[in-house]
This record gives sequence, C-alpha cells and structure tokens, in this order.
Amino acid sequence: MERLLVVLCPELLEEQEDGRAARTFAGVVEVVESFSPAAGAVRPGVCAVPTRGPSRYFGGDVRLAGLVRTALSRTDTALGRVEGHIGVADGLFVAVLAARAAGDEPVVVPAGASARFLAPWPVEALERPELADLLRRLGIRTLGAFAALPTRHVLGRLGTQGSVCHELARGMRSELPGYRLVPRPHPATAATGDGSAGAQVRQAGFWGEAAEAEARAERALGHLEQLLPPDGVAVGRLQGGRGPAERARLVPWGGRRLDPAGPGPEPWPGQLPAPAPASVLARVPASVVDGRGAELEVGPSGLPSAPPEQLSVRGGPWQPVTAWAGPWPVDERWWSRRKRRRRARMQLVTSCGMAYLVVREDAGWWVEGAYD
Amino acid sequence: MALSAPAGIDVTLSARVRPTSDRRDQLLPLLPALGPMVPGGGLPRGAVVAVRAGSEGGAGGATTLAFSLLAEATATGSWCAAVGVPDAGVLALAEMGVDLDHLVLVPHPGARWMEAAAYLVEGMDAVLVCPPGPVRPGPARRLAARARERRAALVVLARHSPWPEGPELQLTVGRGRWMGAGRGHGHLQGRRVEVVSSGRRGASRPVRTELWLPSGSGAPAAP
Repeated sequence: MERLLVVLCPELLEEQEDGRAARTFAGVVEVVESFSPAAGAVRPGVCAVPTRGPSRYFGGDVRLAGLVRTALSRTDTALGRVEGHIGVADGLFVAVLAARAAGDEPVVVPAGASARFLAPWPVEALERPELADLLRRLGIRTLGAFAALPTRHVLGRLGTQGSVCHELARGMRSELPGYRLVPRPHPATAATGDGSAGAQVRQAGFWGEAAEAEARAERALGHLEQLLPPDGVAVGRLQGGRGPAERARLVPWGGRRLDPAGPGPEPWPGQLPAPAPASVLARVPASVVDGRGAELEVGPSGLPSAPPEQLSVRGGPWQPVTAWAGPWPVDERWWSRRKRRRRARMQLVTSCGMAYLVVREDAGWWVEGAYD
Repeated sequence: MALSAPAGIDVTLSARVRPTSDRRDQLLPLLPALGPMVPGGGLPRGAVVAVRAGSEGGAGGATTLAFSLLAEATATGSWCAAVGVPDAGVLALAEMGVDLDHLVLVPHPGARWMEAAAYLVEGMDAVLVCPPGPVRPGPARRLAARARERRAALVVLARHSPWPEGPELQLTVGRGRWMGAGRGHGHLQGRRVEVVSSGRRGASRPVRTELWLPSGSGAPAAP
C-alpha cells in the first residue's frame, strides 16, 4: 500500500471569485514539492505526496509531517498564513481522513493500522450515500461495526461496491476506486454550468487516472455480476503444484482481495518447465498408440512400452506424432494408500504442428493441456 | 460491408492508428515482439482484431497470440477481460506476461457471452471474446460499434467460427514448428511461427512476422 502525506487546506477547498484561492494553493503545492517532486494537487485545497522516498530521507513519516508543517507555517501567501492540516496514512482515502482529524499537529496513522483508525468514523465517511443509508437501517453506524460484518454476507448483500468498502473498513485495501474529494462547485460556476471545476479534477495525476480506470472496470463488472452466477467473474492466481492445472486457481472477482496473490510459489520438484500449455483441459479422453496400433503403456520404470506413433483426442481422427518428450512419472501421496496418485506425463507434437500435454492415469490417456 | 461510422469519417485501420499527439489514447501497449505485426505498434483502441489459426492444418498458436495481445496492457495497468475461454491456462497467461490481477476472466458466459462482452467494453480497455459458434452479423456489428464508442479494443479469438464483419485487423497464425522435443528426450522449448496481419478489405498490404509463439519462457519473442 502506498503511504501518502496529505495537506488539506479547508479555506482553499472553494475558489474565491478572484482566483486568489487557486494562487494560494499553488504556493502550498510548491512548498510540498520542495520535499518531493512527486507531490501533486488532488483537487483544489488538497495536496498529496507519496512518503516512501522523502520519509526515508528525512527520518520517518512523523518527522516528515513535522517538517512540512513548519515549512507551511513559514510560507507567506496571497491569503497570509494558510491553515493546512496534515495526515499521513496508507492510501489516499485514509490519509485524507487523517488530515481531517488533524488539528495543528499532524496525524500519522501507522502502516497497517488503518482499520483501527477508521473504526470510530461514521459510515458516511465512505461518501457512498446509498450504502450509508442501507447500513444505518441495519443498525450499523460506524466503520468499525461495518468491518465486523462477516465477509460472506457483505459479498452477497452489498455487491461489489459494498465489498470494496468493507475491505477498506477492514484495512485490507488502501484505496476506494475512483475516490477523490468531490469538489463542491463554487456557487458562481454551478449557476453558469461552467466546466472549470471538472477541469481542475482532471489534474488528479497518474494515480487519480488509475483509480478512475479501476472504478470504471468495477462498475462494468458490477453490472456483469448481476447477469452471471457469483463465481462467473474471476481472476487467476498461481499456486504451488506439479501439473499446469494444479499450479493455478480462479478466485471470484468480488473476493479477490480477500484471497490475494501471494509471492510467487516456490518451484516444486517434478514441475514441467515453461512454456505451459495455453489451454488447460479437464481430463479429455485420448488414445495414444504405437506403430502396431497397440495402446501405449508406461511401465513401472517410467519408460513407454514403445514410441508413440499416433494420437486421437476425444475419439477424433488419428494424428501422426512427429516428436515427443517424456514420460515424466509423478507419484503423489505415495504414503497414503487411498489418496496415492501415479501418473506419467508426455508432450506430443503432431504432424500439423500442434502440441499436447497428455497424461497416463488409471490405465487410460487423457489430454491435460493444448499448446494452442 | 456496412460501416456504422458517420459519413466522411475514414475508419480504415491506418487512419485509426495514425500517430497523434497522444498515442496512448489511440493504442494500448503491446509486448515488443508483437509490435511489428500491428500498424502503429500498439493494440488499436475501439477496433476489432481477429486472431485465427491458419486454415491448412488449422492448428495452434491462436490462443497464445490472442492472450499475448493483452499482456503488456495488463502489465501497465490497463484493465482487460476474456469472455468464453473456460480452458485458459492461467500459468501460461502469467508466463506470457499477463498481470493476472488486471485480466478478468468470464469463463462460462453460456449463451449470454455477447451480452457479457457488451457490459465489459463499457469499462475495460480491451475485451477478448471467443464466440462458441456462428455469430450473426447484426449483433456483431452492434458489439463492435459499442467497443468503438467506448474506445475498447475487441480481440476475437476465432477458434470455432470467424467474425462475420471484416475486422480492422486480421492476424493469422501459420503452421508452427516446435523446438525442444525429440524422440523421447528434451521438452518443448518454443514454437516458431509466421503471423500474417492483414487490414480490412485489403486496406493495408499483408505483413508477415516471424515469431517465437511462445518462446522458452512462455512469452512471445522475436527470433
């Protein structure tokens, strides 16, 4: 999670008619930029900067926040001394709340402590009015109470958006997709319908765009989830295993953050080297025969009874085998009489240039993968 | 062939992907090995790109190529989806360079695959579809129009039947030659193929690209 320092200037959230607020805020951003060139305006009156680099340099988040505060207090701007509240936390959402909670002294939420910090806040802090209404009707008033709801109920009843907010309340994600402070249009611009407020929001910078793209994707998937069964939308995850099917799994889109991708699995003994088959099939029956038309067998020594000559997939036409590799015997759970699995894998290349991963098990041949 | 573009707007691929002041708005990034086969070197937003295996022998490479077209986009933060490929090899996807967190899989959309794709082009940067059977021209045209409007690339993996409307770009994978396996020794290490790219109605001359699809690492690579 990206740690951010946020400076929130309440007086500058709304533009003055003569543009003085914008000029003053530009001065604030300049001060923060002097600590890191990655600083940027999130919207008028709110400026953010990733703390990773500068905190390492200046000796920690608390020290950095103190230095930014001192620098701001020494800055003369068009409006005189500017009131800036400083918050540091994992992700923009929590960092803005931290800045809102800050008085004169900065509020630094330690890494990984977002859930504890968020617990007393009212559910309205999510800025999802419909969700907040629903939660209040359920008797849930704080983010802490929301976080305590069992995940499976949230997924089922509150949909993707609700589940995203739930993860946020539990401190398991750092961003609300598309989250940014919605600029309250200045009375003058609202009356004229001038698009300048929108133009300012577009300065959100690269992470603002990324969050917007994710929000767009999530909205589309929200519609899709109503069309399909709950596990109909998924993402892939890698895991340890030997065969290509065992080395991956699908997790439902709605629950992907509860089942995060771990660090890459360690190589297992008996794994096939890359490339993996582009298609992984679930035990498609096949026949592999030798030159005399007899079904190929793999003996206890792991050697084939004869060179494979022809392959038929799912009872289809015979394809001449032009090259092959293996067999690679796999003897799994050999310690358990009931669960023991003995298999042998082979790669077969056919005359038309296709290649298959086939497996011998239970006295039959199966296609496990196609290199298509 | 009906084009649902306003009169006076040139919808040929070369016009669509002509370098502009902001190419990122027009093209999604591609793995370097795939750049040469696509005009402009990127996956054109709002266009239909169809991928098929060559007719003779009819085997191999189309699935790898279709997913590889999405790899770099997912790795650079774009959102992609694949509809109707229940047997997609997740390990192979990772080897191709796909960021699994940015590729949403809809493995079993059933008869509603096109509806699912229509929802997805609303929010995704690129959507891969694999029609389970013949596609009627009307719905195909509407889906393509929606993708164009939403600036989403539509990649068609034409395994079972061709896309009824001429795609902006057609990629045909020729017969492959596998390296690495012999007669009982070694293991598969890569497939050498030739990919032919052609534009709509011969709008551009066919381009032939030699390629490892996949290479020994699982990702496509230039020879």
